This record gives sequence, structure tokens and C-alpha cells, in this order.
Amino acid sequence: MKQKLAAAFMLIAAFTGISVLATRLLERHLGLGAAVFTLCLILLLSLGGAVLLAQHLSRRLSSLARAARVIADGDLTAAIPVSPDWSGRDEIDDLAASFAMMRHSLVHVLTELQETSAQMSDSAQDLSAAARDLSHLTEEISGTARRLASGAESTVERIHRTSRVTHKVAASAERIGQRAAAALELTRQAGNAAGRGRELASRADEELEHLGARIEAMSSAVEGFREQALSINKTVDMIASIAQQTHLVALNAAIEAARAGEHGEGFAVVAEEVRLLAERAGRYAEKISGFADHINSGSGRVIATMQEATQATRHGRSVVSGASETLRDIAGGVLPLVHQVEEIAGLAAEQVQGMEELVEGMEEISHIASEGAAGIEETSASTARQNRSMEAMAQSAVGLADTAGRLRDLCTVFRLGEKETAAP
Amino acid sequence: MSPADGDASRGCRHLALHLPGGQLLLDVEVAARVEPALTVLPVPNSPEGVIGVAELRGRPVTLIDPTLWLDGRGRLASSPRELGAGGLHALLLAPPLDHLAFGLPPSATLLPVRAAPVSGAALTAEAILARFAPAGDALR
Repeated sequence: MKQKLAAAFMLIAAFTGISVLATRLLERHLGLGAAVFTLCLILLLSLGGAVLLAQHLSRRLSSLARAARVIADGDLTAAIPVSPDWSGRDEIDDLAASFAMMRHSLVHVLTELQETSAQMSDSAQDLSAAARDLSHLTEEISGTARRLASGAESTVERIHRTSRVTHKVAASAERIGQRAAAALELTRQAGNAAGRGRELASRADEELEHLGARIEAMSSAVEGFREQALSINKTVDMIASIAQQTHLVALNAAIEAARAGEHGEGFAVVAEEVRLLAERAGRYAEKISGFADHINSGSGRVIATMQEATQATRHGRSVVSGASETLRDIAGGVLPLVHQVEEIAGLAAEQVQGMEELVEGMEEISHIASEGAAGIEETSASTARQNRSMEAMAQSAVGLADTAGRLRDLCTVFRLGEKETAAP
Repeated sequence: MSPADGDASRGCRHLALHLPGGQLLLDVEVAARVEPALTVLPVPNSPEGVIGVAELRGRPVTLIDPTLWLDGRGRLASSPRELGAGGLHALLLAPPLDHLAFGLPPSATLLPVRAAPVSGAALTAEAILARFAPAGDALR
């Protein structure tokens, strides 16, 4: 088009220049009339060409204008005349081509819009259903959140109770530690006492050994007394026998004195004196025998008592030895007991420390649980708000579906024909 | 013969036998000697007043109870505990009664006496023999 206008203007300009030159030449050679005539002829020829060109352009533009009105009426099936000759195309052909492309694009856009509106309607319905389902779920979540909030409060309360119990356990553990320390001190004292007791038992054993030796020595001495008493008894028996024999001699002397008559009177007196002496000797012998028997029996009792004392001493030594061994075992057993009690005290201290940490942890858990309860309550409130938002979204989805329906209805105004796949 | 006859001229002709139950006066001719009776065997069914049989120097001798003449019954024979703990002494009688002997407790004493007491008569061999005549031969 521009080339054609440029060519027309160049042609006009050339005609004008030529006309001017020819006018000047004609004016110079033929005169002014011939020159005016030639100029007018040229002007007429130019005007006729311009009219023909304007009619041609007007027809093509009118065709495009009719196509535009058809499209404006919603019919996108109308064909747009486009010159296939690319070499002779002008601006109107480009306009027609662009117009055709626009129609094609409109068809494509409207087709896509219809499909999209249909999909959007379906999606809006799905969204509405999903929003309702989500609303139900949100309600369930809200109920669960409320239950969780209630459970969280109960959990917080239980954690508080557990914390109090843990405090008590920590106090008990501390008391256990104190008792363990006291038991450790007592165990050490018991170990020292057992050691001292063992020393005392050893000394008592030595004393009992000395006592047993003394008792045995005394028993031997008393046994010697007994033997001496027995020998005294034998001697006394002999004296008694002599006294009896003397008594018999005196009796026989009395008989002989009686037979001797008055010559035997002095002899009779002597015999009686001898008898009396024998009688006294016999009585004293009996007394001495009684003393010896008493000494003998007493010595026997003393010996029996000393034997019992010896046995008791031996038993005492065995008891003291057993006590010493027991104290040694106690002293030996106290040492590992001390270690065990020390371990118990250490474990109690660790337990106290652990319980303190546990108390701190319980307090943190309580704090976290409290925050969790608050968070759950907030979540419950947020869920309620979300539920309301979901209901609003469901309503919006319904509105969107309606909008999509109206959009699809609007798209049905245009007649699109067969789906065009390729651009012209 | 009266026990009191001739006592003053003959000196001590009697023996006073002191027993736990009383005193018995013996004629000096009755008593022979005193010996210990180491073993005394009781004799079953023996006459009253017989303590038992003792062995004296290889001879068996019948021990009779002198208390039989004190109160009429033999306490030593009936109650051996009256004999005492020291055993019996045997007052061996003189022949012909040398198969007899008085059983004496150890506490018994003999004392020569000048005259017999007025209230009692001295025990003679005849009196003893008369007492044990029925059993004399058997005892012998």
C-alpha cells in the first residue's frame, strides 16, 4: 500500500515535474495555451487514476468491515478474504490476514474459554464439595481439638500432680541420702567397735587362758590336798585300828588284872587308863577321820567345781573365740558394707540430682503442656474460624460455579464451528 | 557260893561289863579274853540270844548276846544296829564254855571290881550254861 502510494505520489510528482517542464518548454516554444492544455490533461489523467485506486481500496475495506460486523454479531465462522499471493500483498491484505488471525485467535480463546469455564464449573462444584467435606473435617478437627484441649488440661493437671509426687520422691530421696550417710557413719562406728571388740575378745581369751591355767594349777593343788586327806584317812584308819587294838588290849588287861586279884589292881588302873586313852584316841581318830573326810569331800567338791570352772573357762574361751571370729567376720563384713552404704549414699545423691532434674523436666513438661493446651485452644479457635472460612469458601465455590455457568452461557453466544487447530 | 563271899580276901574277882543298856557283873573265871570278831554269820532258827557264829583264831565260836541277862531279851541279836559301826568284839568265855563268846559292841568296857554289888549277882558259868544248856551241845 505504501509502495503503491509512493509510486502514485512519485508518478504524480513526475507528471507534475514533467508537466512543469513541459509547460515551460511549451510556453517557451508553443506558448501559454498549449502549456495549460497539456497541464490540464495531465491533471485529468492523474485524477482518474486516483479515483480507480480509491474504489479498489474501498471494496476491499468494505469486505473487511462486513466480516467484522459478522464477527461482532458472534459468528466467528465467516470467512475473511485473504490474498494468498504474498508477493502482491499490501497493507489491506495484511489487515485482512491480521483480522483472520484475530478471528482464529478469538475462536481459539473462546473455545478454550468454554472448555475452561466448563472445567471451572466442574472444579467449582468439586471445590464446593471439597469445601463441605473439609468443613466436616474441620468440625471433626475442631471437636478433636476441643477434646485434645480438655485432655491437655487433664494432662497438665496430672503433670502437676506428678510433679508434686516427684517433689515428694525427691524429698524422700534426699532423706534416704541423709539416712544412708548416717548409716554409713554408724557402719563405720560398728566396724570400729567390732575391731575394738575383737581386741577385747582377744584380751579376754588371753585372760581366760591364764585363768584356766590358774584353775588347773589350783585344781592340781586341791587334788594334792585330797590325796593328802586320803593319806590322812589311811593314817587315821591305822590310828583307829591301833586304838581298837589298844582298846582290846586294855580289855584283856582288865581281865588279867581281875584275875590277878589285889596284885592286879594297879595294873587294872593302868589298863583302864590305857583303855580310856585308846577310847579318846579312837574318838579323836574318828574326828580326824571326819575332818579328813570333810576335807576329802570338800576337795572333791572344789575339784569338781574347778573342773566345772575349767570346763566353763574352756567353754568361755570357745565362746570368746567364736565371738572374736564373729567380730572378725563382722569387721570383715563391715568393710564391704561400708562400700555398699557409700554406693547407696552416692546413688541416693545421684537419685536426688536426677530427681531434681526430673522435677525441672516435669516443670518444663508442665509448661510445655500448658502452652500446648493453649495452642490446642488456639487451634480449636482457628479451626472454628477455618470452618467458617471453609463454609464461606464453599459459598464462594458455589458462586464461582454460577459464574462459570454464566461465562459458559456467554461463550455459547459465539458460533465457533469446527475446532480450528492451525492458524491461517 | 555267894558272889560276895571271899571277895575281900581274893581281891577283884569280878568284871563289870558296861553295855549300852546297863552293866553286867561277870565272874572273872568266866571271861577268857577279848578278840575282834571280824566275821559274824547269822544262824537261822537259832535260839534266842544267839547273835551268830564267828571265827576266832581258826575256831568257830557261837556269839551270844550278853544283854539277854539285863532285861531278858537280846537286843544285840534282835537289832544288829545296836552293835555299832566298829564291828563286834568277842569276849571269849573260859572253858568249859570256850565254844561261846559274848558279842560286845565296841563301846563296851570291862572293869575289874572288888566286890559284887548288893543288888545283883555275878553271872557265872553255870548260869550261862543253864541258859544255853538245851542248845549247848548243838552249839558245841
